[in-house]
Amino acid sequence: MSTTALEPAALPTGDAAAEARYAQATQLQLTWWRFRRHKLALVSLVVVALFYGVAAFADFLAISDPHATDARRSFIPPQGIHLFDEGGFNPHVYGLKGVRDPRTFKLAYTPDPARKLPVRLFARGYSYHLFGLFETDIHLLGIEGGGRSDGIFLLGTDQLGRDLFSRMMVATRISLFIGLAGVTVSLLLGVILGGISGLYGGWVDTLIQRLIEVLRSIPTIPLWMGLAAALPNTWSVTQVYLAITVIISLIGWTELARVVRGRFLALREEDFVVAAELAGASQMRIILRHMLPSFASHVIAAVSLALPAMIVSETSLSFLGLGLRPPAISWGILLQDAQNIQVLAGAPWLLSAAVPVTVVILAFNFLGDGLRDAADPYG
Amino acid sequence: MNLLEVADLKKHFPIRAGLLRREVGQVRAVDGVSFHIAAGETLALVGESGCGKTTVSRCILRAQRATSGAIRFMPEDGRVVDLATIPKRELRPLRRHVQMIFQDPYASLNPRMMVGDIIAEPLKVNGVPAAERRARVLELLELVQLPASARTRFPHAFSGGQRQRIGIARALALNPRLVVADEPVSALDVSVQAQIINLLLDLQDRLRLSMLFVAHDLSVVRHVSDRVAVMYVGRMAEVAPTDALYRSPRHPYTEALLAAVPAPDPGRRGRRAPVAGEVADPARPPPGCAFHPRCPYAVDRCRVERPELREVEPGRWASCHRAQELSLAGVT
Repeated sequence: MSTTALEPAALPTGDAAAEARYAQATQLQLTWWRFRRHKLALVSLVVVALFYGVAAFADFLAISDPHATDARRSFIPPQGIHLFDEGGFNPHVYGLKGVRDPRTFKLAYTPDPARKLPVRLFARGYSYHLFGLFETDIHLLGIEGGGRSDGIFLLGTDQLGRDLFSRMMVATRISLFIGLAGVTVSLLLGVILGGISGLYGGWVDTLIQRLIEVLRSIPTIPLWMGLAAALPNTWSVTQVYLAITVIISLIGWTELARVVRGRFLALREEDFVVAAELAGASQMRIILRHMLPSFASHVIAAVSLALPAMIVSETSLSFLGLGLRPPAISWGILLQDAQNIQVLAGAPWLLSAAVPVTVVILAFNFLGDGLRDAADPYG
Repeated sequence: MNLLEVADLKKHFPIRAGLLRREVGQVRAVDGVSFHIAAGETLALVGESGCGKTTVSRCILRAQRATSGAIRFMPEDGRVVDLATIPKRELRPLRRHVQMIFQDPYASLNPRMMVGDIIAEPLKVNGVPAAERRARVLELLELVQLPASARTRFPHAFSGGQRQRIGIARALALNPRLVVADEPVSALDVSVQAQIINLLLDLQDRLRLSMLFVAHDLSVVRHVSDRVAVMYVGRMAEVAPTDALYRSPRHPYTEALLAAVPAPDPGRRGRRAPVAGEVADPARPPPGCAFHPRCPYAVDRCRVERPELREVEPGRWASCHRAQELSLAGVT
């Protein structure tokens, strides 16, 4: 910026095309250029996108009906797909064979290498609604032939014989969308209350800020427990789902409200906002045209940092049995199965539901960090 | 009447303390200031930081509301409004007649808007049709000597001086009657300062601009202003035509400010050390003349009796008990 001696006749020289590109870059482009330099955030962006891809195509990626129980295939350990057979490419899995334990006389089903079931892409399975609209029964993977209990068990099965991989796909959808829904509610509350607080100031501001402090000082787990316990037993899964979202966002909005208020207070004093006021612009125009674009990026960064907190909240609530209840499937509900040490000793693969939780939360945090750094490309 | 007449303007800020935010005192940022600006004239308002010059300009722009006093402004011939008391609703259509050039060219341009949109914003807000806006933006860019290609660029592509030109173009977009320039060059490199000053001089000539030029020292204002008003702790110390003020100041504070102006050849004349000490606290101004603790000429009277602004000779006003008897050093 120190080409001062040359101005104004000569705009900075150098690579003219690159200069022009920089000079005409919008905020979005500048933000993206800066964000791109944050490699970890870039990788996290891809990871998060993949997760939401899974959430969108959960049923398509699931292999068998996540709700279908089958006593004969309970606690089957994870099975890989065998890619080669007799020197040729022929992906297959083994069928199940009942073996009676000679000591306990208990019938256990184990994979039988003698029975090979070929794996097919875009196979037909249970029917579902894609995006809740189109009914279809096409799945990414499936087997050809085989009995009712045969299937692909990439991550094994639980006690009731439900395929953990399929359940994980569907759980991803619910857990991620409860996060999104929670953040949406928080965002609405946060922007409105934070905006009022920052814009009007005075006693309204004091009131809202004290309310936020009170809310933030309440220990979250007992609060959630109390609120969740207040939900009537008779409510349907959907109603509980919505109620849980609201409960989670009841705390979540406070952080966003503070971000919005802070930006409002900072921007109100900015010279360019004063300039707009002096030009005779209306209050509405000043907020929408001059202030909002300046803090939208900060809000997006705050949202991407609030999302993982929402997801963890849902997971912990459901894990404790206070959030969603079966037959709903979420990461917390999957982890509930892993609460029992006896079950866990025999079927450690049930813990695998913790992996996506950890990965997505790390990814969101890195993404949020990257966005926060890139949010104000002029700073 | 004059374009702008400020009469006995006061702006006091309450000092609040304690849980109940009780008022425990007042900062008398501006405490009875009067001056006028004639059409086509540039008045420089000079003083150290904290003397209230920015508050005066903010009151004229109604970014702040005056505590008392009148700011009579003539938006068009034959009509006078008081900017200090006019209701907000009636103020908005008048905004276009008083525009501002900001001190910090980095903060005053919205980084998210293209330069063309920034300059056109006042036009747009005041309902100028799109085709006219475009023509006017090109005209303004030429006026401030920026290339027309600047229109589609963002502020981050420009240097401080170029940004200040954009700010000036925006201030002139609506053909304001009065431009308030709040230290328009103090954030710029010295070499660029001269360019911006030259641009302002050029605009004064071409547009017959009336301007209130706020500055914190006397080094830059000599070239741009017709008259200079020197402020000290919320009050006027001296008001005089520029040349007369520089040649023979009538207030010791003005003399001190002049001594602080860098001389082209420092060895040429015996220079008095600039005034010692700090600006008085406007929350607790000293009794008598606010300048007496720093004044080398202070006598007993200065410590008890506050001097009023008096006309010491035609067109020259000073608030000093000894204005008539002292012979103070100016610069040539």
